[in-house]
Amino acid sequence: MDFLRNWRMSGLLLCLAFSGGFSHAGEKPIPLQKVRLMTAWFPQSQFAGYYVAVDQGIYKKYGLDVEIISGGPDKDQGIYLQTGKTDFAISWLAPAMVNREKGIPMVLVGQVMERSNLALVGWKERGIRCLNDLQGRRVSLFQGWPRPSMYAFLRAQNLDVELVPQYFTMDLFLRRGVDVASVMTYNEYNMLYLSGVDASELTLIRLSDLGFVFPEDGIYTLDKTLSENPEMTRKLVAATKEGWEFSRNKPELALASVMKRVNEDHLPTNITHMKMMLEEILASIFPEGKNGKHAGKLSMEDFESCAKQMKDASLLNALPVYEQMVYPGARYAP
Amino acid sequence: MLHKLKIAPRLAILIILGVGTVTGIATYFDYVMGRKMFSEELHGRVENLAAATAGEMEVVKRAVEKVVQEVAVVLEDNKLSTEQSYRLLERTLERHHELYGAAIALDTPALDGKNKPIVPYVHRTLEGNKRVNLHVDGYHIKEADWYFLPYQLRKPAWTEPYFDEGGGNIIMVTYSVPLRDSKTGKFIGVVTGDVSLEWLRTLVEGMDLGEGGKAFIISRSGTFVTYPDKNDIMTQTIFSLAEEKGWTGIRALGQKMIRGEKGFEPVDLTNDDGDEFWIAYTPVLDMGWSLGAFFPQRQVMARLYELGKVRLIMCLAGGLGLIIVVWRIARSITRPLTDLETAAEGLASGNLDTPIPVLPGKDEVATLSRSFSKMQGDLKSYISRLEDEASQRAKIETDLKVAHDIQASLVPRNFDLTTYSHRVSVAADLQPAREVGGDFFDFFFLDSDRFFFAVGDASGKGIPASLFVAVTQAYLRAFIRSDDDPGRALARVNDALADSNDTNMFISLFCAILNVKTGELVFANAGHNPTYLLGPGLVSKSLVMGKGGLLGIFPGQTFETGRTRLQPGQTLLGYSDGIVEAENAAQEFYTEEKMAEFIATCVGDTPEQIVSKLKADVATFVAGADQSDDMTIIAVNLK
Repeated sequence: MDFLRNWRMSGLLLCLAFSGGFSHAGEKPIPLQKVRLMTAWFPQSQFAGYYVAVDQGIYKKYGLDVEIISGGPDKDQGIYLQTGKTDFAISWLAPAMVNREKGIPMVLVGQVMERSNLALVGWKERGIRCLNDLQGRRVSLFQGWPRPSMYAFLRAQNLDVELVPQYFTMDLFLRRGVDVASVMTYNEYNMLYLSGVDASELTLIRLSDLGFVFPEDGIYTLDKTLSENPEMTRKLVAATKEGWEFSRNKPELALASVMKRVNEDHLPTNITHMKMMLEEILASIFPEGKNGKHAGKLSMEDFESCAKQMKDASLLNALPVYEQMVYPGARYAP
Repeated sequence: MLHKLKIAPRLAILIILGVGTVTGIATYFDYVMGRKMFSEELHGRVENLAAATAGEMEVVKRAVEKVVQEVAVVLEDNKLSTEQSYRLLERTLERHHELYGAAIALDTPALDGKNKPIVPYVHRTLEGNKRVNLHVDGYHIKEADWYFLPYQLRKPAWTEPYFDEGGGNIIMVTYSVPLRDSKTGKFIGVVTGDVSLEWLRTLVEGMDLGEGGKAFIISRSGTFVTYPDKNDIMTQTIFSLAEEKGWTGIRALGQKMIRGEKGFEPVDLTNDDGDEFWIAYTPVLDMGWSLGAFFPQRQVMARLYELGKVRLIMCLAGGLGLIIVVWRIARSITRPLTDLETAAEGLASGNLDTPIPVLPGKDEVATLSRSFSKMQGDLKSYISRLEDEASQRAKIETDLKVAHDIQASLVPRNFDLTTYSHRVSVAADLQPAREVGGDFFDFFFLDSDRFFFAVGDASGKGIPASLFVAVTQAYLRAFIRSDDDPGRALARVNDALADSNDTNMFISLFCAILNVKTGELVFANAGHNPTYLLGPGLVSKSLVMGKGGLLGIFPGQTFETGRTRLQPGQTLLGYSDGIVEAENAAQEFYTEEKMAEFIATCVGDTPEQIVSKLKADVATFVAGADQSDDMTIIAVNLK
């Protein structure tokens, strides 16, 4: 409840600040500041909080005119930031670290997801009942930005597996072309369910359950943007938090915002999938239990754990520095 | 409830209930069987339709597989230039209309003049076949299922259906054959054939499933390849739609479908009309796809309902007819019964001339009616006979009454002897068991001093005995007056009786003459009970008799005349055996001993008191038991 109070408090303080601002400025409306925010993928419930903040006027309330740019394959958030195609981007920590080492100075300004949704799923009928059963099996692994995390995880387990790339569909897994596949619990795992596979047929191994921390969706920008527009950054993060809280309180409106964009883009998905995804996403943003108190911040411990795994997996040459890569407002101090 | 009703409605209700139950059961089984039959018939129809549709699809599928595999053989054996590759694809498309497009994607594709890889693909357009290089930025060939699946599965594969954005916004499915180097066997790429699924949709939509019937096809992952609602095609799986609509049971159905099962079953698809649905499903194309066809229950059962409606109307009409017939039958039975009831009431009230309905036929009611008639006749004759008998009995009773009166008049009724003498008093009582009896007593003065008295008991009872007594009494009166010796008088009476005693009756008799002046008593006894003497100084004592038998049997008998002297105050008590043999309910006799004991307590009483006390004691003893014999007591007291 602490973090909730924090979220509410920060929102409340900002509201007060703005209402104060309005009164100082008399009746003259403050012109909205244009901001671009890039998501990590095509429209889906993973980004409900941002859509809601736009649709429900939450960003506007903070004086921001936010344009959301959808991500997708071949759309690297680092490149988009670097080339000025966006001001902010939703990314995972691991690829952001890689990008930073490559010279794109990505900085975390708000950690959205608290709990990792990365998991492996295996067919029980093929003898996959626990992590050790992966030994010697064909395992399909996400390509792109989740791959470093998965790869680091598998290396850390000393599992000798035959790696097969995993692209956009779960067909190879469904056809038993592999025994184990990687899933996001909010996406591919649900897709399996919606392809008629019951949870009882599968063994789900959540990486977070095994102590592996791969911080997922966070709001990133460049060092430069942050230093030039600290106020804008602060507003964006606060409004986004409010957007997510709104989504949690009124999931049906959040779902409507998602489906609006899904339908506009003619995406081959459906409301059931989006609804299940939203539930899982909200659970990972507002998790119950001991880890649910970071209030949109990232701890140094989690940061360094992720960095170490990346380096151990030779995906990073040097360990990034917490203080450099995490904006003070996003640092978690216990 | 029912027993309160009259027979006609009760009969009607019972028959309707019985027939209704049987008809109901029959109709139910009929319905169940009909339902089974219809659903089987429909299932068969759908299966045939599905088989036919699947057959058409199969033809296309096999043709495509064959063509693509043939192209693969050509490619594995020959190294073609880019132009040759395009030409091969174009020729293939020209000859095989099932194909929408075809591609050759090599692991290391040939390069064009600008060192750019070329992945030749040819597809149909309205303007004819069009060549396309699939290698464009942003399209990772090796990540596409049509390349990736045969590579990873190491065998030809059909992709899941997908929406082709490039070719013309159509849903298609790709058959992809991995290419192997003819020498090393190493994977060198794939050759593909695309099939548009638009024709499939047309085919499925063209299935004649009757009103409200719809068909659809799902892929192996449950994705709708065709579906009545176009928005659901490719976006929904049967499982996601089931979740969205809250259709319970559809998930299990979808799982059976993608497992390649076939079946026909009711499904719970709640829609606005509240229709129930049946679904038939069968695997198609041998690649995990399934064809489903669903029908509103009302369509499945429409004919059954139609039949049921006709049956219901027939049942109702039949039931109505049955009610009328049953009512009439019941009435035909109960009307004569009602008439009979009225007649019976008339009879019961005593009107024997009440007309009895005459019914023709031999049924139970007619028989009953005849029985009633016979009963009426019998009753009449019985009653008239009864009346006759009653009048006869009345006559007899009158005679008996007269006889009784006559007999009563034969014994003295005046016990007041004071007119004749103050020295003697008498009391007597005769209680015949019937109207007239065989007992008698008698007394009178022979002259101013001599007082004659007698007590007797004839054999038998009733009128014969009373007549015998009357004769005896007449003889005795006559003979005692002409000869005042009681013994001789009795002998003469005996001779007179025995002389013409055809009936062999007899009589016991005690008689005595008391000289009221001297107290002298002469007496004789013809087989009668001993006479008791009681008085001061005597407890009770029977008079000792000489010889003497019963009167009326043996002529010439003699009877001894006894003599004694009574002291003043002494009382002589005579009685008949009706007293000592008086029976109580336990069939015990009063006995002479008991009587002797009792009369001992009566010393000093007047004759009247003695008679009435003894009577009372006997009555107490018998305690209301029927009197079986005449009872007579006579007491004579010398003052």
